[in-house]
Amino acid sequence: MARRRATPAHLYSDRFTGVSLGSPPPRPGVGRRRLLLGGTGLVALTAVPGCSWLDREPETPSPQEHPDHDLLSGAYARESAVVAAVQATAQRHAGLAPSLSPVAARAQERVTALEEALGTGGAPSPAPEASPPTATAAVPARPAPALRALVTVSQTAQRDHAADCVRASDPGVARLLASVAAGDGQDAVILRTTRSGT
Amino acid sequence: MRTTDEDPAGFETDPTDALQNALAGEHAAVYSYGLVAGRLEARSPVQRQAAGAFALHRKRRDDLRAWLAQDKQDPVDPEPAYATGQVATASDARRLAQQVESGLVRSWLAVVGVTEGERRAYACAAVDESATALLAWGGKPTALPGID
Repeated sequence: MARRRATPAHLYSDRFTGVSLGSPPPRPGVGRRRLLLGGTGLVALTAVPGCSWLDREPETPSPQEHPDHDLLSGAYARESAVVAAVQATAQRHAGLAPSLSPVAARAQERVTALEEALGTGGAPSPAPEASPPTATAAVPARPAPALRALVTVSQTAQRDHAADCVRASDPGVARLLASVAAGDGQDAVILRTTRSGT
Repeated sequence: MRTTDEDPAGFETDPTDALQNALAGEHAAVYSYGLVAGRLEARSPVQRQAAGAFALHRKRRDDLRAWLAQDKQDPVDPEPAYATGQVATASDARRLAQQVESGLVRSWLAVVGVTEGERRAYACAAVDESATALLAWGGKPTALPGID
């Protein structure tokens, strides 16, 4: 067999741009409803290699029937808890709020993406904006330990999302969970280097 | 021009192509970090960082080659050289490294979509590792690495 060359669209030929050469521009969300196969629904989608349930038609049978529904629900709840923990910490320690605000915003974006992936089946409670009383009570009294606690929350979320990624049956769900995990991994690093001011 | 198999989200869906793309990215990473480690002041923080990254990406390259061999595929060759731009300062190194890691986050995310079990776990870890490395090289965090 002749030595294979990778496709030009994914290599650096005359311009070094990484394998993102030829990639489409950033998209606003991951739950876009694209017409893939003329109304044949969920079964046909999973029969096409690489096709993701996340790109299903709106009329596809109930999302609750999808094998990854529980996985996505769990991820949604997990990431909602991350948002709640970050917000509770910002409320408890006003000096940390400016640093934590972008962290909360990124986690909220992940929650939204997971919610979109769940689709019309809906997401389980709690709503991410509502800070449960227990989360506020659990925030350490001093800023430095409070930040360390958030690092742990993010690292745990990263690890658990990654475990769910491996269990996913749909490729799009697997990618979403891997990306969510990586996002929490980045925020764990950000939080570790955030100054507590004490 | 060869068309690639991509789902509407733009990720490579052919399993072999996804692996080959990741390998192409790792070849470029090995080249780039080797260049940085060789050009910058020995034992400076950036040079050390590049040397560590060189070793890490060489391992990923070798692991991908092994997978492709297991799949009875011929691993893609590295290019003889890559247009990395100037590599003279720590700032150059950071720019290049961010480019490399950013591309790899996306490539490995595609591998996540076309693998299962151990390979997918590996790919998921690679996504996380490159997303974190991006920060270490001065990049900014994003909500959904590889997607946004």
